[in-house]
Amino acid sequence: MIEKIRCKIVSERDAEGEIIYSDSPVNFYLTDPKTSEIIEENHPLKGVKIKGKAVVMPSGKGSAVVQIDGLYQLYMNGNAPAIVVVKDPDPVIVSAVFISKVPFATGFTDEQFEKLKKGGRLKLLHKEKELIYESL
Amino acid sequence: MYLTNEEEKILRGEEGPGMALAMELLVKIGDVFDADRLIPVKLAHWGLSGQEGDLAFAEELASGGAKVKVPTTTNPAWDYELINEFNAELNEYEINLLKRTYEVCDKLKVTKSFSCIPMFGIEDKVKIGDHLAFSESSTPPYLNSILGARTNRESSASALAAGIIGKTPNYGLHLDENRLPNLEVEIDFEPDDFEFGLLGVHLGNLLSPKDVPLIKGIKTMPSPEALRDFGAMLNVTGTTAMYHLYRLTPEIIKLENQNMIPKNLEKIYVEKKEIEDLKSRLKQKTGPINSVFMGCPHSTYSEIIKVNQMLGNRKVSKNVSFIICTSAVILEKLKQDGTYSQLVMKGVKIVKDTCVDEPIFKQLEGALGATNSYKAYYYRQRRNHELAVLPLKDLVEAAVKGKND
Repeated sequence: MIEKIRCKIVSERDAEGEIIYSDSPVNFYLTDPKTSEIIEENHPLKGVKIKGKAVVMPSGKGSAVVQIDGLYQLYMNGNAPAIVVVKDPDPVIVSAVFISKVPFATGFTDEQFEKLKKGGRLKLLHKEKELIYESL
Repeated sequence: MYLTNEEEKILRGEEGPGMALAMELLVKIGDVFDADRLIPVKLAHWGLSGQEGDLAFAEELASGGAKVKVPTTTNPAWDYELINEFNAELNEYEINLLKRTYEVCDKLKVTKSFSCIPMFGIEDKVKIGDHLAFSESSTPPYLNSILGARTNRESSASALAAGIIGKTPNYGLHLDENRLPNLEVEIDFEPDDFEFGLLGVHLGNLLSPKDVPLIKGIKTMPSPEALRDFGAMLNVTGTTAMYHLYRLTPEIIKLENQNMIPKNLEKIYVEKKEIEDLKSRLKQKTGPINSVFMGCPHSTYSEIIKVNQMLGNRKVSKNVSFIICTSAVILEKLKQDGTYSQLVMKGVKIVKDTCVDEPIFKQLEGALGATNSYKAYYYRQRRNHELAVLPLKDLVEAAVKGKND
């Protein structure tokens, strides 16, 4: 099934990737910039690589600055996620995706976000301000 | 978000690429949070870190000709002069990050205050209702709640951009409706300074990001140190940028006078026992210690005076590096009144411009230390440095004995 989702987009380009859903926010500072692997102790996705993926998570995490550096290091190593999707945004996560030029989507209804949790693929169309969701 | 003609021009690059980049970030944030417009800010605080991501953005602003338009202060990184004292074998990359940080501050005309307690000493500049953009996460609770000023919990980059444009998007805690209490916290005891920090740890775990708790049960205004630690720890385990202390803080007093306090709020009860349990868990790690860290957030003048009195004629154990991080302004005051030299003789190192979570303290990693700050404990853990968390009096005793027992 393919579905269009209107939302808020921060991006100057289109992007596409397979969904990785994380119930617990991913702190990009606690990923390995060389491999894109999540290294945070006790994180449900510890060991998962996020390069090129559409990372879908409830919110950002961490202090006013570490999220920015974490995503930037991934970007500099060519290991950034394809898209970051967040249910409840905060200024830190918006600054982080802006600085590292990672396409970002937010502003969903609860039902829309529920669907994304099930996995699949996402295409982000920046001019149209929409996500194309393809379920598994 | 609506932009004036002048703001549109900046966005198009007519005042240079640096200003355009700062404006672009503010517009993106404003759009995400449905801000209606930009509003002027009086002061900004850039929570710099000496980390690459944040620094690269600042350098791009600076090379594009941007300079701050409103007074903008900064968080600490670390003091280069400490390199020999702590015998830290830093690599060229780490040293270079610091040099780049200093340079970019000068280019952007940011005040190199290197202090993480910028909310103290600005009481004469900040009036109730003033809009600010502060990005050290432990400062918004004090500014919003105690001074009645208005700031969101900014990122380092968004606070710097606000300093450069002199404006911030109008959303979140800049708006009256988001500053009203939405739940009540009832406390059944009067916490001391240390317990206020622990109360922050405890509540940070329970509250959601947009919550503005109304705290009842506290009868007198807590000390500046208690308020500093309460706000800081709320933002280690959570993300609370504002609270009200019933009958003590300005906005709740006003609301009560107007009979406007929302009724039937959801209640959270905090018992002394819960804080006592947390206290015993945090002091659990016992044995010889190699270090004592104070100043996360930075220590105040009166706190350092207290340490000097508590030590009396005694000296810190020679196995312990007793480090107090504070601001350059406070260090100068301590030098002038003689406290600094007394403390040096007792074995205490008072350092300025420095954050406890920096590579300069590398040599102390891999052993047990102690601190009075949950925040220091939390962040130094990542550097493989375990810290017992103790009230100030016990901390000073541990420093003298060289162990936590």
